[in-house]
Amino acid sequence: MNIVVVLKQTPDTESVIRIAADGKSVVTDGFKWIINPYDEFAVEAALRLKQQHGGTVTILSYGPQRVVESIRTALAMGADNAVMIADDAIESYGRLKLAKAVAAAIKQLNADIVLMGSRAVDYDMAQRGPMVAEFLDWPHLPLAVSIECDGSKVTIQRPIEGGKVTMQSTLPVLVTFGGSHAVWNPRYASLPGIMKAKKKPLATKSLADLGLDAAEFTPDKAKVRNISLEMPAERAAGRIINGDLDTAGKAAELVRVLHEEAKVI
Amino acid sequence: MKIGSNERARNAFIIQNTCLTRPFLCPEIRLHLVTDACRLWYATQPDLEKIGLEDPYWGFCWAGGQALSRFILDHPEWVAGKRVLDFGAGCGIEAVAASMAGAEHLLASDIDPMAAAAIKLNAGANSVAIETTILDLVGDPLQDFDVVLAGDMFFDPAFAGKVLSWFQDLAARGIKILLGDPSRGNLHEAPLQPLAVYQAPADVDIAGKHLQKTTVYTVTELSPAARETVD
Repeated sequence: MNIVVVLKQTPDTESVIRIAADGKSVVTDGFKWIINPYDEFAVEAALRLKQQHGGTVTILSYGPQRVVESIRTALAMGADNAVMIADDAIESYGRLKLAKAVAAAIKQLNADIVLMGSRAVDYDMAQRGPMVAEFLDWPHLPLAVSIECDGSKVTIQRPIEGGKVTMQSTLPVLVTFGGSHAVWNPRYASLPGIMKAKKKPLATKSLADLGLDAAEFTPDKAKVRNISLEMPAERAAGRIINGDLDTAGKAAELVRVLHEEAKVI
Repeated sequence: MKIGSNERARNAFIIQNTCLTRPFLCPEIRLHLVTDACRLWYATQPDLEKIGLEDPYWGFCWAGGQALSRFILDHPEWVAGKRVLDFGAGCGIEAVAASMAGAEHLLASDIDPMAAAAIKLNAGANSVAIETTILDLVGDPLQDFDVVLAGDMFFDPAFAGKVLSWFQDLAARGIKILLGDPSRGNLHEAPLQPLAVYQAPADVDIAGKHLQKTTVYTVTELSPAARETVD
């Protein structure tokens, strides 16, 4: 089975966010960059499918040169090879254009199944999967927390309020992943995997290599733009109940504060 | 705990974190390699960052290096009595093999000081003498050398192109170049003559459970007209 995992590099969620001078982007200096965790779940799912069915796992990513580090991490986990759409500004062309480029790359890879996170932990737009599925004219199974494949059909489970839905599609299909680290428990690469990854093939493609017209891919053609960003309002400092009181006294003081000052009980 | 920055600390780290191992294709050679019997084998990226260890290529014996070393041991006439450079030496297996095959003078180059330390230890483990340098020699005319060895250096397309261009210049001046490569796909435009094919272990596969076709080449000298076409 030819499995393609689409991988986005995002800032570590513990990064300190500062709004840039333009008021609609963030300062990326000093960020630690990681694989978008939901895409990491997709890598783990792909490797499990490969263990069951054989085949190859190809990582497909996009962006500037720093993305190579995240691609190598996925290769170290066990993926076989990678393709990178090398374009420093690809995110500025708009999500629809990004999806078009990703879909064009997938077409060249002759994939049976495409896996990716349901959303990314940066702007949390959740648009990439459905858009790519549309460009491919493939079915889309969303928010998977489990996946099985019998070689011709793919079955996933996705959560809904208070329960789960089981969904099925024939190949080829695009699956987006939800869940959490506790659900997927993505594997850690150890030294032999890390070193093997250094020598695995990583092909670099330009938009022209994908048969796309670069003139269509410019920031001014983006259909959706950020107008402004605002930081959350600063919260008042927390309050510590007097530590000199005994337990009953602390409880009484806590009740008084919640009732008289916070007025929540 | 961070690896110290002096030679003694580097040697201590290598000895503590490797096992003396005989490579699959060259059992007459012993090398300090990271195997599944070593704690370092199980280190994750955060562990490596914590100890300050960067990309320990020297801890593994790659397919291209093993095949090239086997070729040298079986065809000593390529290096016997010659001044030999092992370029991008890693663990230094090609340099050890060349010394065993009778090379007159050996220099192993690797920009990683840890590799230089590993090469010295591996020379000692095989009772041969090898000089090391951590200078980046790409582009150097190598006037004091007759033969250059390069095992498994061609996994990155951009770096492969740069090194092959340099190798063609060296070959044009009469320096013999020997390469080992397990079909990593970045040699297709180079003027190469295959000399031997081996089934070498897949990457980091110590026991040779999975083998991959690995070819030893020499860089051929192109005519000026042909070189213009390639350039």
